[in-house]
Amino acid sequence: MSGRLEVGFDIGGTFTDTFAIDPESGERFVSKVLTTPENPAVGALKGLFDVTRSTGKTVADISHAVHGTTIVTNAILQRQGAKAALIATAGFRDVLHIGREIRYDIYNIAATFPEPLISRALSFDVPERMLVDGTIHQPLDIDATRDILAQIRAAGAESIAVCLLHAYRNPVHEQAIGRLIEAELPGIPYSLSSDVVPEFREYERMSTTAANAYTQPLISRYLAELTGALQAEGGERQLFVMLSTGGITTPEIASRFPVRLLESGPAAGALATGYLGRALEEPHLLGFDMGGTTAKACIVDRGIPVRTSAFETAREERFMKGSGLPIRAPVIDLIEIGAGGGSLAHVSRLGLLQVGPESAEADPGPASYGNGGLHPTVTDADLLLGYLNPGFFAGGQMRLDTAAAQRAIESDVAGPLGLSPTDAAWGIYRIVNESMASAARVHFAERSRDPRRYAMVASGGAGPLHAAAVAQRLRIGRVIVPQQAGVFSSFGFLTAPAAFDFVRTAIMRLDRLNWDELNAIYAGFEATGRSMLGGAGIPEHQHRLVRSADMRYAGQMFEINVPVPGGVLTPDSYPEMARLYHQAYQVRYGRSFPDAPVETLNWRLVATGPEPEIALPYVSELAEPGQVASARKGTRAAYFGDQAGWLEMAVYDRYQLRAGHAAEGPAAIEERESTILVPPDSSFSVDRHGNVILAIGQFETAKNIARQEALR
Amino acid sequence: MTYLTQSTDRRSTTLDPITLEILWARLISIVEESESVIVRTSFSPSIAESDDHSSALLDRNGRLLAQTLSAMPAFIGILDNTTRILLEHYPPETLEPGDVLCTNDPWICCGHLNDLNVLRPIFHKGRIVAFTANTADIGDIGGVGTIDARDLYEEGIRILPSKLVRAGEPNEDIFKFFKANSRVPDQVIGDINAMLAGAEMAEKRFLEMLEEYELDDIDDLSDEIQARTERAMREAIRRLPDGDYFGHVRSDGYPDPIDLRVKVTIADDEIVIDFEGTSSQVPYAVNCPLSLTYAESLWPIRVAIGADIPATNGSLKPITVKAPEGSILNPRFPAPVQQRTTIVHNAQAPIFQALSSLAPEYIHPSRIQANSGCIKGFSMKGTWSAAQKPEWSSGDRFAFGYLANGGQGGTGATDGQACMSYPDNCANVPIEVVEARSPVLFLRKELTIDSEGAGEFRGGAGQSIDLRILNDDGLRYSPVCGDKTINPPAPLFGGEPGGLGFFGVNGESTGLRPVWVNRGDIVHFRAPGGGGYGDPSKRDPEAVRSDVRRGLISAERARGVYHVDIDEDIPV
Repeated sequence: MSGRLEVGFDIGGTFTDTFAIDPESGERFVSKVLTTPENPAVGALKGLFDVTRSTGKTVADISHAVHGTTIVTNAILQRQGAKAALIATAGFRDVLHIGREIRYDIYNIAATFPEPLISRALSFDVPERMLVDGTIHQPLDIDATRDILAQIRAAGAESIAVCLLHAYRNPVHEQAIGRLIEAELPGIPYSLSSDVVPEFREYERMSTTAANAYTQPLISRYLAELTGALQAEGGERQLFVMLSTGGITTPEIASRFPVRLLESGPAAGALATGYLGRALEEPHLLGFDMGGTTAKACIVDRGIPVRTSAFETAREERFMKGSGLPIRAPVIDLIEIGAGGGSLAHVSRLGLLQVGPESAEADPGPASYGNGGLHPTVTDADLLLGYLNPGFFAGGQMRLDTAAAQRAIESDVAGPLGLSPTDAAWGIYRIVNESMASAARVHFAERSRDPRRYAMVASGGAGPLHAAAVAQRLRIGRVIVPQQAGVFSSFGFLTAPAAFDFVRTAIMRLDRLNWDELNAIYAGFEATGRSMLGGAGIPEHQHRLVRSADMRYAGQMFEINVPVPGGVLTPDSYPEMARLYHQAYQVRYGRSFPDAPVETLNWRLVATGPEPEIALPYVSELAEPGQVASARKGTRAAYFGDQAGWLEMAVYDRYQLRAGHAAEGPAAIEERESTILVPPDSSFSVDRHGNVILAIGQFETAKNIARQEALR
Repeated sequence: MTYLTQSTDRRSTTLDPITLEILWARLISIVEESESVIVRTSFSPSIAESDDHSSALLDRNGRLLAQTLSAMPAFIGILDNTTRILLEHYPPETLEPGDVLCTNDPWICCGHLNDLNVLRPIFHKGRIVAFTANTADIGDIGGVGTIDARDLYEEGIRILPSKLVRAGEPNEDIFKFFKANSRVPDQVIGDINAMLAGAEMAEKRFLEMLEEYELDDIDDLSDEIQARTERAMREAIRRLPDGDYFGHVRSDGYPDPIDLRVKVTIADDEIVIDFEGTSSQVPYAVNCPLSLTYAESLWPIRVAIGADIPATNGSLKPITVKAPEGSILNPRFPAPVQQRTTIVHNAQAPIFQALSSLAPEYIHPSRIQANSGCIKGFSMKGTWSAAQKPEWSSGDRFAFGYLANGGQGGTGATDGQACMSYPDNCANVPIEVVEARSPVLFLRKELTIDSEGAGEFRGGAGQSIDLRILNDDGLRYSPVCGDKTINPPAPLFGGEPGGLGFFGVNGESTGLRPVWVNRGDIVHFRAPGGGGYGDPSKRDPEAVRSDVRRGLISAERARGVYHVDIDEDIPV
């Protein structure tokens, strides 16, 4: 048999997941094999063989393969990257070791910080100096550079980071050092800050360049092996690698800029949300993923996850901003808070109930797992409230111990607070929902978005159970729980567009732009972007080139990202550019100053190909809403607060639900990975794709709001 | 967990502990968002890059309700006092929606004229339900801005409690005063607008909260927050043994040394910190009004015993801070105060010393630290020469403060961090930003080798900076927080003091005085290392070798001070 096959594979710490779709028949295939840490390509090939075999095809039939990997992230977290050296401007090798000099916890004087990825012993500096305007103040000392390269060779360094002051403005000295490295140390990979992240703020740029150099040898070796192994099997078509933005890129680019893959894990989930949004024609979605330890949320507009340009990796304290290594690279703008099924509830020294961020993790886990956990978690509260079925946890593979949950809640929460166990459990449930909603509310507000216009897509082990309550707090009217959320997320992989990001700092007054320089920057970005997209097999008419710039009022310190018109820019473009800036500022901060001069910082371009069209499959014939009784497993009592009290709620088997089925809450819909909770006042229905859609009581749906606004 | 025995009186309130937790978390999230607006829209690097600002919510009686967890110690416990005084000038019944009060009086607010406070009443259903207050260092407000000022009048413009905004209409007179008196008017006005935007955001979110929870006011909420935090703080103090505990450190002073002496008295559930015996005020700008002495003295207490008790009016009530009137920590008006952190940043050190006799039995050693190098820096003021004036600058003048931190003192459990901001928390401004905003060229910014105070837990390294002046017309270079160039950061428990700081020009020491420097001159700056904790000979030899490998200390020092031989060629 021949034909095409689109494949995604995701190498995690434990399992390598592979999934394929036959675009002609629409058939889908999945495989799960153990990851082979010593050579991950082995596990990857095994998974590929699995899916090709079950389709009667071969690796040679793969037309499009998307690969997600945590190798870069793990190399940093586990300190398994290369022995890397740093070359800085003379006098500034300690920029990496001094950092920003600021504490992340005012009252913990024993707080620790992550070690930089390049040791101080391997940090070198060379005489040279650029000025802030890009003019050369002191030429690069070539002989001194050669001496340092000899020391780097003698020290056995495997990779080199080069980060010179003001190199974002003028990269010629970094480039000269690059050529010297190629001549003196052939085969040693190097990362220039002016390539990796040509943006001002030397510490953040150096930290990013160091992370790139630290992970580069590993990722390029690995991708070369993988590409070789695929080619040996006849797979000659393009392999793509998942980026932190949810775009995909070629192995060559991924090998040069591994920092752009650092957050690709969570990106897949956001992509899946975007994919669903396109398929269901929901333009505005909030992806909400609640697992055992954390909850994540991201905003997806018209299929595209909202992005940001900075994050931290390797935090000492997972939820403490400033406790990690800063990375400047485009990334999906995701919030993560310490709220999951395993989050621990305790009474603080102020006599208040608090939930998380500490977690019981998988071991010992919640008290109700019966693995020795003595302290109450969110899952224990969910169980006590009747939301979880003790006999059908993880599809019945595990029995939850209600008595143990009750003991833990009584001793740690109910007793100290003088509450009944039910009220204590209800308190835990409320607080965890509130803290997730509160984080999401600020996230929406800071991005100038109105949550009421959004629908929520819930996933993760605990997501579908808490989604309705969080949506209610945010006044979100509609919650979508996709079928087989885990697998669904994998298929999102296949919908990732090829994407290449470009940035250059050029600080100018908006009313006195150097139009030639600006047009030259964009001409360069666009030529490279088109050639990269072309190299990825995307025809020119499908190229999308989106410009933006970071701007601020002249003299301010922080910038906002604003769209920039396409085409050749001229003085006539100025009014429109200024209008876009003032408007964006007004929306974000509630005031603007149309007469104040504006300053531009970073000019950006994103070059993308089309999102592959993959239709959501129809899972069943339409059934009548009333026939939902056929999916009913029974009823059980569940608690919904002091006013509603204990109610008898219907329990449904998700695998028996058919498209068109619908019912009022309260109800629970059980599946292997999770339980969907439909509170009183809310209802659910099943769509043609098998998605369960909750209509949250008391609130109008996003679509209605949009419609009303359109009418106005 | 003895705190939990108080559950009996908890039912007296209408607020259950769950609703209370939810609303309180919401208040903190509101001040966080307000601060984020100020940072993102401000113009001064001191606010945007160094975080020299704070927001707070107060109840309608002016009691502190919520501040962010990252609020600087200097701003904790000050805003409620400032609010009370502003309301004495403008009683609440005279205020209307959209009003904003302000002052930068050092004795009312944060100890120097650069810190402006704005206060906005929040109205709901026709009455005041709360206040939102912001304080920020808005940079240049005129004056000489150096240690040499002889009285407050030399330090810039003072705005007594005034209405900055009247019912939503900016009071242009006050804006004009600021504009006319600053070297960088656009920056100052931009910062004030940022503070107003932060206050508006706090009000908006606060009203959304009231609406969402159908609350008419937050009186019960505040009563409960004050009561619980006060109870927790009193309980924490009660667990310490009663007694008087003493500490003393010496600062370089200007021109003569300054002694800070403290007696910490613990009596049942209250603490009195008394600076009796501390040196008198001086006619130079290092005096610190009591408002800031108070705030800076709270920090070591909260580190030692109250890190998890939020700063509220209630939790601060059991702590009293006294300093003799006319002393350097409680000077009489109009003492010059611009560089008041020079001395008051050392106030935490004798308090930690006093508390150190309670470790490890009553206070965990990881909560006691030797003195740090602390925040140091320099300022540069002048006129752009025509050729160097950058694109963005609308005015002719520049005024730039650069902060650089010394090493942290060792704690009883960890080494001090190199170049870490203590006791307040100010990030450095990137060199690439400084060079865009002032006509200087950095030549180096490096860790200072062998500058750590030796100890079982050593202090962190300090740093050395050199820079060249590029401005054709020269500029005024002035040390900021100049101290510890003669009297090093004090150690604890047999450790050694941290390495000294230094200020100089063209290879020569200039001490703490401001100097005019010309094009081509080279300015030197060294921030001190942190003091050591415990006997250096008890330090783990492997930790000493690791420091040598990283080039933080020399092999000679390893041998001489730590008695660890570094014979082998240490592999990289």
